Amino acid sequence: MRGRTALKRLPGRSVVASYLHNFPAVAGLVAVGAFYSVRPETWPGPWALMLVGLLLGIRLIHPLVMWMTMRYLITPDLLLVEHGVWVRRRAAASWDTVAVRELTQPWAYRIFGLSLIDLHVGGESTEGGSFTLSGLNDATAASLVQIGAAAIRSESEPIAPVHDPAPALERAPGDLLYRATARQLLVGGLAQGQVLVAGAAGIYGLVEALETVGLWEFEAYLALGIPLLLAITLLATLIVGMLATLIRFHGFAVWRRGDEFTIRYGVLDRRERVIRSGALVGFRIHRNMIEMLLDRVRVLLLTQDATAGGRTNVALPSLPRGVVSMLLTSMDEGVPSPAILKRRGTRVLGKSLIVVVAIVLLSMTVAVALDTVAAIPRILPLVMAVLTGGLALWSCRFVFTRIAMAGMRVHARQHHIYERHDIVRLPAVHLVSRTTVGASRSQLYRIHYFAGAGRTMIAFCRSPETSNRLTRALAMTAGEVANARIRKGPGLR
Amino acid sequence: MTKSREQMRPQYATALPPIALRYLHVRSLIEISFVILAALAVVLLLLPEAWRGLGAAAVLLSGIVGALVDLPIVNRIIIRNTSYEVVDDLVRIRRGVLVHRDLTISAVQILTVSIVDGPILRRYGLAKVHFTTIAHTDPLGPVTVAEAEALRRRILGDFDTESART
Repeated sequence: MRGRTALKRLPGRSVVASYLHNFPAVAGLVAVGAFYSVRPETWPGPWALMLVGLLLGIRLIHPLVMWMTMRYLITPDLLLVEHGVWVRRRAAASWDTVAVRELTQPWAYRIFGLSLIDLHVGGESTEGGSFTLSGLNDATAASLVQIGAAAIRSESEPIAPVHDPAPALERAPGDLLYRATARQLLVGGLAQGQVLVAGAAGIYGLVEALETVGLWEFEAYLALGIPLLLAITLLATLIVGMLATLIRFHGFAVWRRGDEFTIRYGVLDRRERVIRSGALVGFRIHRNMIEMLLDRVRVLLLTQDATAGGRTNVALPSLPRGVVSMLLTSMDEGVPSPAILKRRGTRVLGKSLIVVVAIVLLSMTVAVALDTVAAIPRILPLVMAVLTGGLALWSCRFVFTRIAMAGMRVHARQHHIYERHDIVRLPAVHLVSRTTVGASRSQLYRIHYFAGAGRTMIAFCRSPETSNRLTRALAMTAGEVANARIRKGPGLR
Repeated sequence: MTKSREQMRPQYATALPPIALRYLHVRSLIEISFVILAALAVVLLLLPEAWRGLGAAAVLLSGIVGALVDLPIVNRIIIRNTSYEVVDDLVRIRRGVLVHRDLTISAVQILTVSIVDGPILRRYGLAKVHFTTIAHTDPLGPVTVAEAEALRRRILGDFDTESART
């Protein structure tokens, strides 16, 4: 590593540029100070002068102190920035991790031929992942952006970014793998619960609109009687929800061309996503109790989408189990078929029902036990019962989750009131933490992986072999990821 | 301890340097002093005059007990039970006695490595190493400045080319 002497200061004229840039604020503060020195009786009196003096001092000292204490080093491989007076911080980042590069030229800096550059590693929200160099030469700043662009997202990178939607939505983008009929989408929407959510939202919006124009009076409808009113509301919710689901997912179809998959759906807002199979980090396969009954599952495609791009991971509608199995095999040939896709939903429904009954019994026991205590408020048993149920549900996520390694993928499976199976490719795993209490053999695993944003698998595991296999596999994939990140940029000498 | 337990809670190759204990002692004394001063201020400002002497004595006694526990016991435990290594493209850190925490980071996935040294750390030629990853990780250290820079160089500087050759 180069010594501290190799680090450079920003150009001296960046201090002048900073003062010039701050000039309007300084002039404003001076004007306020002048006002309060002439009219000291104005609230808050002498305190205002003190505050103005403090702010002026900061404005005057800050650019100089920043220039004196900040040093940087740019090499073809990495960026190193050192700053701080009392606590000195030296941060370094290799170019292949810089995801966001922003170059700005405020008017004051432009006069001196300088630029401000902001670099963010690992997306925009990573803690400690931001670098700002205020006042680089224009040429250096431009070269720096080019180095970053050349270093990241190279052609050899194994996990490629998701493509933007293709402009030509009408032509078939490859071989058709699956097209959902309207009936399948309606059943899927009903099983997934989307129908109720969308329907309730639609009905609420309709009632609001009718009330606004004076066509809705709740008291008039009460005359129909509560049971009939509830039945009408439920029916209307279902109809509106089904319509909304149909409009959203109409024409849902998946095509394949080479290693690219196209998913297209929608009537009013037509969406098309093109995903390269290498961009897939993994899958989240899920089914609730209704889906178990109808033997359907839904899939979330975990991709390397950048959160900065405003795109989310792709959620497919609830589909027949066989269709999902076929789609998964097509998209990722190496993925072993998980148990959730092998077993009929009705065969696993029993366990979910037992968990639901257990949670309900536990909540009722708490409520009944508290109800016998006379000194507590009457609402407390109900509140505690709801809290107990919620806590039990939350605990299920950790207690019933099991992790395992299969090939170059981590699997996390949980089955309680719902069944879920997460499959994540190892190159997407960044870190693994294990926590053990005392002499216990149980270990709490946190597996952090990147799929558009940092995500975490949390599970208990008693087998030390799982830990060893995970560590070995992580070491193996680290080499692969590193190999794919050989820098190609010309560098900055 | 059985073999499987050893596998579950490994001690890694490198321990914190002995001088780190002195840093922890100084930091503990400063922290305890601040707490005592704050507690004394509360006692003197809020308690009735008759209780102030007793309150101040209780605060001082608590501070002394805290220092007696922190300095010879807690700090030594922290130093003895923190170990780390960088092997096989992985950064591995182990911490804790009652609650063991074992962290394995894929070195190539580390976004930045920052070295932070405050005035007390500088006094002893020490620094802390912050690994910026997609999840929060506690800083490693204190380690010597040379070791901190060697770690950074190993993880960021030479990593890619070394891996590419193998």
